Amino acid sequence: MSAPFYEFGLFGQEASLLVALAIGVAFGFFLERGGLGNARKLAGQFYLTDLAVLKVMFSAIVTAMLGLFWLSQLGLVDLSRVYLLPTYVAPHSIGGVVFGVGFVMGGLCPGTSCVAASSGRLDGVVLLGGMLFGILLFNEAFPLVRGLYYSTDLGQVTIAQLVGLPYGVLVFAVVVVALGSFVVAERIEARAR
Amino acid sequence: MTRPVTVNGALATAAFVLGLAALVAGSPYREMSDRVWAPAPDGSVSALVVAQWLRERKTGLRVVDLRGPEEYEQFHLPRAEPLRAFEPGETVVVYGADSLEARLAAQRLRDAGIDTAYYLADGVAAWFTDVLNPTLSPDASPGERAAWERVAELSRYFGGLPRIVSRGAAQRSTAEVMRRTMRRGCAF
Repeated sequence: MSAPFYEFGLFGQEASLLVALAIGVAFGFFLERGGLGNARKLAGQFYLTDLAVLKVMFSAIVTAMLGLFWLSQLGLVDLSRVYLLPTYVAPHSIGGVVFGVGFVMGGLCPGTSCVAASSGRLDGVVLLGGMLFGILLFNEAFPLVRGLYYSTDLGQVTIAQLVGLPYGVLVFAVVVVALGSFVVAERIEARAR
Repeated sequence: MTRPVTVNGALATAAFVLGLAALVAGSPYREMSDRVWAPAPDGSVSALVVAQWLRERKTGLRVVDLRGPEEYEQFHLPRAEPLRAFEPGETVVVYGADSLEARLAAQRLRDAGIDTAYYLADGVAAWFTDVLNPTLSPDASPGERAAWERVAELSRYFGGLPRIVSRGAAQRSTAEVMRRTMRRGCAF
């Protein structure tokens, strides 16, 4: 038996949606328990007083990366059947800036705003509303931005393919950078206390 | 006095060891094997399988284009036809702009008794990238090179352009390939 289970027919369409719901609920639960539904905690990232976001994100990246890498090496995951989101350099860059500005202004990102709203925080509800309004606005304006949306298409590319490095080297590099970031983050937080 | 081992310390050590071992583990992507030359358990077929079936004129093969007439006029796979009723025993491959619609259509055909109904994985774009514009990295393994000969031969049969290029250069966008192919007037 090999993953992705959906790709190999172990899950049907409906079951995959239920699995996605369960994963989403678990994701939200752990974000909330980690305190990431609180805008003050997230804002601490930008004031260099609380680097929980960096540590959570890097932990997730390293865990997923090592998990996928080694499960694939053991023949339990077929990476060629894992969907890769195509990369569009210009629209993704602009989207990243918009995301960043919204994150700094609101103190929450899309995932954590859902967590904040569901745990009863008013700022989360406002941001969630803004997010839905933004989605509506984007869809209405899509004919105007269609050219930009599909521009600078690199296709389904991984960083290893883009820079021409073996996957193992990239995995090791990301682990080293993550561990280094954790050490630096701990020192910065200790200094801020 | 030794410091006690913390959970964070143990996890960091485990991550470092696994990362270090990754340096010598090789690519996590499986080498191209006979797997790509047969339908997958989920009912999908790769563009290479469809190309092989078309080339060997597989008996009872039907290729179905689910896209609109305009897209069909711009480009379609060889022998592609619109969706219609099929007979049991025919091998039907449906494709669309992407996998989703084709997957559902293939499922409906199987529900209707066409057991050998498949969908083209990744849609019509897969034909452009895997059949018309396949690439091999210069540092490919012997296994990949052996499989490459078969792919390259098949690609040339359909007027494709198999190339050995670096991984970075191989990241030609699907849209670019499609535009280039259409400019060449390559419509079957």
